[in-house]
Amino acid sequence: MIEIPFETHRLDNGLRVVLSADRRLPIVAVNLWYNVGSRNERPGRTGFAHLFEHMMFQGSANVPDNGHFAMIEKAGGTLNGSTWLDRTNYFETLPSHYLELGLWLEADRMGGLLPAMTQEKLDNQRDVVKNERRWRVDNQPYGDWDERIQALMYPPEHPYHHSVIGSMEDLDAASLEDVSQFFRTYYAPNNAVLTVCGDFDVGEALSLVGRYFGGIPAGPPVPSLPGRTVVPDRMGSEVRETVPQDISLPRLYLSYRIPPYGDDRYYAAFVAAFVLAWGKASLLYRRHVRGDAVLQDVTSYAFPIVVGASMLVTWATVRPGVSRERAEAAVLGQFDALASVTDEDVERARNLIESRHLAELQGVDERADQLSMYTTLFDDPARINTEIDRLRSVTTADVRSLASGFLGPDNRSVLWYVPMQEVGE
Amino acid sequence: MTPRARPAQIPAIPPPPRVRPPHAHLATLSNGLRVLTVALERLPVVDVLLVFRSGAAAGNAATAGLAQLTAHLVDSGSATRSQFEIAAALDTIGARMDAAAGWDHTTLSLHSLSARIDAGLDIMADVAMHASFPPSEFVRGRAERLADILQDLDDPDTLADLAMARAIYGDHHIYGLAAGGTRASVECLEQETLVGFHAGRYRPRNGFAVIAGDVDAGRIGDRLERAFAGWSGAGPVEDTTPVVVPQKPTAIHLIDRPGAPQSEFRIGRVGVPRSSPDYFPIVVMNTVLGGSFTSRLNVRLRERGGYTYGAYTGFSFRKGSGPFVGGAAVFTGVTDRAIGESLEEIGRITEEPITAEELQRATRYMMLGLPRVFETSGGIASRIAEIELHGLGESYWDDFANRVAAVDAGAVLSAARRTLDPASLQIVVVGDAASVRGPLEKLGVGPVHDMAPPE
Repeated sequence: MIEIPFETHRLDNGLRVVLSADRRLPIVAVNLWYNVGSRNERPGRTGFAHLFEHMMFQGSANVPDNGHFAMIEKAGGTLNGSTWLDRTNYFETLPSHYLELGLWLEADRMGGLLPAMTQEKLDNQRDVVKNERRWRVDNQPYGDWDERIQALMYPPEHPYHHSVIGSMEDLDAASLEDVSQFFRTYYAPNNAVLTVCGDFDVGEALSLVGRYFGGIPAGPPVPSLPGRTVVPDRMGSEVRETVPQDISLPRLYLSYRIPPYGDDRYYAAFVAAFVLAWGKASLLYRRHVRGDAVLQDVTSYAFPIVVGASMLVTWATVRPGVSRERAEAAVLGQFDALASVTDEDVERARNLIESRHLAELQGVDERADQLSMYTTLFDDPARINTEIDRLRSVTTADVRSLASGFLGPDNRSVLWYVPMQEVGE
Repeated sequence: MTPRARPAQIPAIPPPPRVRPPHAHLATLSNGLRVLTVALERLPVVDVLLVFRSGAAAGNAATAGLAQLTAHLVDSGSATRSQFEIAAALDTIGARMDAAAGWDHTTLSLHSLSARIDAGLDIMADVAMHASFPPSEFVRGRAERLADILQDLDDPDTLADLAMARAIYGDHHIYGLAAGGTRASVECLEQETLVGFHAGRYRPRNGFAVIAGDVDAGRIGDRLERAFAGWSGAGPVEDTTPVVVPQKPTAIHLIDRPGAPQSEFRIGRVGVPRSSPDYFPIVVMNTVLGGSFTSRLNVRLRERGGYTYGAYTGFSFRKGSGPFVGGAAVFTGVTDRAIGESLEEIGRITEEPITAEELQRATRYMMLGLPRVFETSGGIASRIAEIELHGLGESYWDDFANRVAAVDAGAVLSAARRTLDPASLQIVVVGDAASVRGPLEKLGVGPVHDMAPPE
């Protein structure tokens, strides 16, 4: 049903290139995935991959400070980057006649970031990132949920144990030498995937890619991940944590360890998340957001991460006047109900998944990012067309089996945020 | 083999391709509903928007939140379907239906696979015409909205926005309240009031439909006739009273959040309506001031000062004069500096013309960015709805680039002087009062008042 065309190439320096032409609209997306994320950070340098991402926007050999932003804006484009556990991506979407500008900018920083790096820029972006942490995490109700969940779900030696944004202390410790080392180790063409998606001519694009990226030398082999990446399939116990905060409503974050993204059973977990909480006919929504109105809201998500194990995380806010015990029992009750989930519930979930998947693929930037993702994580860009088949083929039996195998009391963490005022009583 | 040197120059840019914004095919159903359709040959999906010209501004302080609560509960039951039946029917066909009220409109939206559009339209029509707001659902939904308000007040970002609206409009206009209402107003809403709002406003001659996606423009009219058969009526006459708010001298309104690592600050005043003849110069001006990453405010506060993750300014263009608001979340210790520098930037843009480079960057950002806006069926439907709602004219998107290009530095300066009076800005700070009160008083831009958090 989905037939997004693409072709793949590999330059001599190891850069993998994916080209997906679609000439219906005069826009083009340039997308780069570097195969480095917070998982690659060594102890004492948490948050560095993300801080480094900020440095990538501070200019390069032939681009002045903020020049990257200004040039893209002048071209009527948008741009950004993001850092996560497994990867860092950089992307711009431009009117199609500006493709060459987008490629030149990405190549200039891949090949020549270091000459533009200064202590002043590092100090400034360190402040920006610390403010980002304050804004997203420290000054936000429930703001440090992902940091706490990662610490509960992964042992200290696992690369996912620490948060992507990092600690204030480690950010303060980051030096210009760290920037250089990080760049030389990870920001090399052999550790990257470049995708171009949208309105362009394949031959012309290949020639431009060769002209701008071909001259960048390959880097050394990328070191293996620090720490220990293998974890048992199941945690072996339930872990609990309660955090008092200045909030009005308690919130529960319930996480189960599941197989990593790519594993067959991951897809069953992905469908289970939809059965539980997506759409108003989902189990938790219809029974407890509507129904007995115990919950204010509910969300469930299977993280698409690949190192060792992933997590199925469900969070729900409790309505005023409802006890935490009752809310927790309600949520756990629907996990128990998965053992007898019906064909109708699973069919609805699959249909919702398909519809959302198609809606997402309307955007060139989303298609480009997915092509980069499938190439980086699985060396298989064709998944942009076949991923939906994997999800569609999940059966009711698969969901029940995933539930009985992984969604039980010996394999989860239970994180509660509670109003400070309550705790005082 | 030595790698070849990379080209050092910025590549030359070829001329841009001509962009033709999509145009809608217009038809009117026998019940009076105007239907605008854009047929697209892309993915097999369809977006349908049903827009009623009644939103949050249709109420008053006593009924604030009515439009939003009605929209929120419109799918909680109809004459023939329970809420579960509605939800299950939608989920089964993989369709998504939402309803939301803005200030000037209520929109019911449907996103569906084109193969299942008939079933989707049936459900959409059912709630539009026959929503029943079952009493138990109403009670539950009102409680949910009240809990939402509690959560909003916990969030310093949202709290600052609400306080800003209150500081600018006070009791003079409903824009001073949250669009979703206050605790007091929502608590007083009754099921009959929602039924009445739905019966009075969800009418074919009080709105229009926009459809974009994999449909046949000719045949979709017949489908809609069938789906909406039996529907009739108009809405009330639109209230076009201009927003009048007394000018108040600059003052700082401080809401205490003890121990907060950051202050959320806002600076604002009354802006202009969407119909303002100054619209294009104002948008260009705002892009330069705080409407892009390379804007004056963001570069000064984030890239140079390191005070914040991001600073911005924006105008809310509504049927009435929505606010101009600028703001950021800044490290507590630099709250006074960040506000002082923001006021400097606002002052500066009213004193001197912007540079040629800034003008070029802003206008090109707007003009060349246009094709992206039409990338998805949902995006196209929204853009067509916007011109229909505000009566901007069928050729609006065709003329857009020319109208932006016609803006020069002189027009930007005039627009800035007309809209940004630096002597009558209201400033809100949500932060650690013990740390920031002293420095804010020392700023000397106006008195510092303690403000109770809006409810």
